[in-house]
Amino acid sequence: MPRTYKLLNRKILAGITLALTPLFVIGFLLLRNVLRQQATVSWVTHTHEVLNQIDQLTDALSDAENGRRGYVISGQERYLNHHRIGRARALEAIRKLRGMVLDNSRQIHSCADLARLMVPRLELFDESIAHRQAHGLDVAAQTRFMEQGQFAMEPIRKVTGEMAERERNLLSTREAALAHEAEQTPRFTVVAAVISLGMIVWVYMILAKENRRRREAEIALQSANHQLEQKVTNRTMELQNLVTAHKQAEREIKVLNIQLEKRVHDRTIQLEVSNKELEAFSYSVSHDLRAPLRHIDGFVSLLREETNGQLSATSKRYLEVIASSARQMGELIDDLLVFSRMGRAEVQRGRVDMNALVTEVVKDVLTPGEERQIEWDIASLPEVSGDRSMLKQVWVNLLSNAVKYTRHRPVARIQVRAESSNEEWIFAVVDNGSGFDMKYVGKLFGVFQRLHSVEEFEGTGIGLANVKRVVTRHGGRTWAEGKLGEGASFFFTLPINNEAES
Amino acid sequence: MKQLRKILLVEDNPNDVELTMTALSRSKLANDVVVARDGVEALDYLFRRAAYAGREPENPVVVFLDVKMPKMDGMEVLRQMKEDSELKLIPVVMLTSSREEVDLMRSYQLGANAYVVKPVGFQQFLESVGQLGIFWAILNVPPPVTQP
Repeated sequence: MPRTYKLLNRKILAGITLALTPLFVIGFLLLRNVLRQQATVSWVTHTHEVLNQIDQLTDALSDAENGRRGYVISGQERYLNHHRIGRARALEAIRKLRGMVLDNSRQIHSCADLARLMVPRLELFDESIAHRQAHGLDVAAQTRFMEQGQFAMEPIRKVTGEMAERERNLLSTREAALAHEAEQTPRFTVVAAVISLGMIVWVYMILAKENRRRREAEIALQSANHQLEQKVTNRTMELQNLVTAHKQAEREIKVLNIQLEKRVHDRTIQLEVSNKELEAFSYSVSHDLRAPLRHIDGFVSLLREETNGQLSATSKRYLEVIASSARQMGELIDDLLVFSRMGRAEVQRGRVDMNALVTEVVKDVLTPGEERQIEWDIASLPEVSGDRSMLKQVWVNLLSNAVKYTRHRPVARIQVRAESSNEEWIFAVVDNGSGFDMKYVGKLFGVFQRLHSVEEFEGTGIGLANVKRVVTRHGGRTWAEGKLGEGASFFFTLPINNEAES
Repeated sequence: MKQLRKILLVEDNPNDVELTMTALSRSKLANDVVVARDGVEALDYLFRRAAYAGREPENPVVVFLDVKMPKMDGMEVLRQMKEDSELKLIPVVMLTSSREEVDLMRSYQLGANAYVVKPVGFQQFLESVGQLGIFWAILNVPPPVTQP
């Protein structure tokens, strides 16, 4: 764009210059014409003056002659004055003439000739006058002088005539030139005017074209502007809509939030109520379910004492069944209560030294009085974050299981170890006890699920369920591996950075 | 020779009463056992009120107190006992089925001296009660008798 702009400027400049040039030319020509005309006028004047001067010279000479003649004839002083005046005038005239024809070399020559030619004539005048003064009127002498004078006058006349002629020629030449120029001028003027006009038209066309382009560009710009504004308006509206929609969404979110909080609040209250009900239930179970069981067992024992010896073996056996059933139910109730408590109680988080905990549990888990050969292999265990009493329950269950199921081994080997992966601790209790069939591994952690009969190994089947419950509440997992007759391994994990449920 | 002081057994369930009494007698305690069937009766006895207005001056050597009872429960009895300057000296053993932490906590907070859970198994029960009796009635030195 800048390049065309420069070009355009140059064009316009050129055009205008070209347009003005003829005008300048015309002006110049006209001025020259006027000057020339002025010159010519002065030449005309000059010519007339020269001619006039020549005439004056001739007249002066004539007057001088007449004066002389008059004096010669009359001898009157008056005529002598005439002659002297005329003579002076002639000298004056020739002097002036010389000054006037300085522009033309030929005229200068002629003037010089004239001056030269006048000398003898004037001498003759003087001679004539001197003679008259001396001798009085001498017709013969005077006639001689007159003839000589005539003779002298001829060339003078000739020269003056030439000069006049020449002067007139010069004038007519100049006048012709002027006329010629005068002829040319209009032509020139017209041509120049036409060119000038042409230039102006050309410049005008350029400007018009430029204007048109500008116009078009303006229109295009306006149109583009308009479109842009249109787009902006549209976009603004879109944005406004968005903002409105956004605000609407925000409001809705706030409302939903409030509703959600209310629901959470309600749900929490429900849960609290539910919890309280469960607590009451547990409480009731504690007291009310145990009492009858106690009575059953108690009175069966008393009955046995009362009827000691009177009963058959079968009867005694029946009584024993009744009593042991009651005891079993008591155990089940106890286990259920523990299990329930594990689910309800708050997890109190703290730093738990697993090694210390395991050492404590190992002491507890050995049945007093029972002679056992147990090799404990307890590795270095980490400190974890969790509920100490709950985790103790986990160890109690796992270790007492290990102790129980290795009962038939001469030397029980129970290993406790831990390792870490990225985000969790993995604890393991490995025993060389009776193991289990992996077919039933899915049942192991179920409530009241057992893989052995009560005669083989006592227990209600709640221990592992408890373990699973506690570990899950800490955010971990449980699993087991075993082989019948060769032992079992029980694993549980605890997350390392504890943000599990609180 | 000082007269043997009584043992107060507060228990609502007659079966439990029978079993406990049997257990106590098996342990060959010579002390008499007074049985109150609920909290109100227990307090009447302790405060020498109503039916027990004319009871002997000496307070029981120990109170075996059940927790869950109709009308007034064991905690309330315990509380009222501990508020009385004279009665609060009497040792109280909570003898109950419940191992609920809430009962444990409350009992000790109210100032119970001991908390024993009644086992389901009778043999165990005999043993527990026997030990209790021997300890509180014989081994333990009770607070001095206060003159009315």
